[in-house]
Amino acid sequence: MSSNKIVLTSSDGESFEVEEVVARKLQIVGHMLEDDCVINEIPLQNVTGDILSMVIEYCKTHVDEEESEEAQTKLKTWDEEFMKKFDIKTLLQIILAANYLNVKGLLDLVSQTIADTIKDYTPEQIREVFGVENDYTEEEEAEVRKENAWAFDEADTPKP
Amino acid sequence: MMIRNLPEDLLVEILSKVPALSLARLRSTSKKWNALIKYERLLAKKHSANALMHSSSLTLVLIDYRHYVARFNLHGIHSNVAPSVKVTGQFILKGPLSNNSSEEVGIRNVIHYDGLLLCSTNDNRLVVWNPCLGETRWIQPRNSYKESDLYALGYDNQTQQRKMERFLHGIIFQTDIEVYDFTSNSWRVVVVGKSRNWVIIYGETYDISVNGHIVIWGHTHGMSVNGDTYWLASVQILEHEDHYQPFLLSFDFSTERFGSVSLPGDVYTIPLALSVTRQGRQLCMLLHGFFKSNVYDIWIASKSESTGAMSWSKLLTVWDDDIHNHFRFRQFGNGVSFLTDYEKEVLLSCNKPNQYSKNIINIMEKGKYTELEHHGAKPTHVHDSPTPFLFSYVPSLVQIQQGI
Repeated sequence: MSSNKIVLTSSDGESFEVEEVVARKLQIVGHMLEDDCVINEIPLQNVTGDILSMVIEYCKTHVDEEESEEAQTKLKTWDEEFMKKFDIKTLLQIILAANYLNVKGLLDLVSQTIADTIKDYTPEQIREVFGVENDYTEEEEAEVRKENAWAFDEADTPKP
Repeated sequence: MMIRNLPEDLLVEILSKVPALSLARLRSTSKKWNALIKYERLLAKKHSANALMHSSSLTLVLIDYRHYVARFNLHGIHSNVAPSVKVTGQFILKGPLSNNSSEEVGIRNVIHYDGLLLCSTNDNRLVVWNPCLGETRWIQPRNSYKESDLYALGYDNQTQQRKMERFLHGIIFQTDIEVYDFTSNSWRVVVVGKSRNWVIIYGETYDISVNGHIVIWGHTHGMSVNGDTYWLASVQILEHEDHYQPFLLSFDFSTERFGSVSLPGDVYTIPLALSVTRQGRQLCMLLHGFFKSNVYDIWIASKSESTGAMSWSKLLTVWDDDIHNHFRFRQFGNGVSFLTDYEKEVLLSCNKPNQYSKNIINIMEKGKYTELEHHGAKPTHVHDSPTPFLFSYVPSLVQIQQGI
């Protein structure tokens, strides 16, 4: 593998020097390198430094994805611990970045983490976190809630 | 753009990983979220593909023509804390013709598959319902429906593979056997009654007075698994006029044919009821001993992908050591429904209330039978209420019109 270094620059001007194999995990970078192999500095307009550093951390860890079961389990544990560091708002920033930079593994991981987080949210919490405007009238909202009243109260269910 | 910053395709990606039960709740977020959850085909498709990962099954119980959610507290069963069940959160089925929200329709019987409920109503109508999406389709009969009609719900596996689409079918047994196609909105006769040399009778096993007939046990419930529907049934043994051999009757929607599957256990065990596993992917059967009627076996079926043959393995055996309870178990045969919690190694079963107890759900472990302390909705009358029906239901975003 090439040990060529690439510099990635965030929208707020922060620069990260990474190995080319790591940078290639960002498919957006991979495509640029294929088009022109002498690039060694790449500006990334849509992602800030703090988020980019998280993405790079993920890519460094996943740079050589071994097939062995042991390695897979280790990576999975690392993924879980990594995701625990972030609150929901940061996770939403990371998913946007993973989408823009085209990092498939991270996109899957973050969308699953967000799904696991919001599954217990109330509609009020969703509106706040996702910035959704409630466009129901009071009557309409009451009607939808009534229709789904059965879904609003969860407790222990058996595992048949 | 759907919401601030987040493109709709990312939102779909996230929501496709959220259990349908939670999505039903999140329909209240906004009109846009409601529309996305109810109508977005891509979300429904991705959600179905992820179905194995998110387990959001509910336990439903049909009591006095209404569905309720049953929520159990079984934490203390191994530490002598009384287990309990709370029956609440009614599913409201509204009539087809009226916008008047007060018109609620009573449900006589239900068969479920893939998050859809096929309900026959008290006023002899038929509806397919996805409560999660609040979507219903009232199905018109060719002639009329009768109380004795029997229904099945499944899909054509072959068509699904060929076209990557799922066609749902309903089936009705009257004199003829008809299959309803959800895409063309019409019934089609697949077997004309007169052309058959056998008849399916929907009745009690106790008053069999017919020859050469397959008798579907009217007090048990049909179950749909992997697109096919199964019922407990009997067929007469030719040498002995009054002897009937129980077997498992199946209907395959791909070939539109009935088949028979051998039962698990041996001649000393008697089948009582069918059920499906929590994720709705495997068929389970409850049997009890012919001589030891206080011993119950639960078997689980696996279908070979290559041959389609069904094989059984025993999941659990439970029994009760208290001889005084035995008279209650005799009630088990009469319309019992059940679920298995194999992690806790218990059988949950549901029966009619009787003169001894108004509780309807009980739990059997290895050596012990306990009635669950019952909170919430109960049958109103001991004798003339229909037998409550307990089943595991996996909510989905499957749209009735097209399936997936």
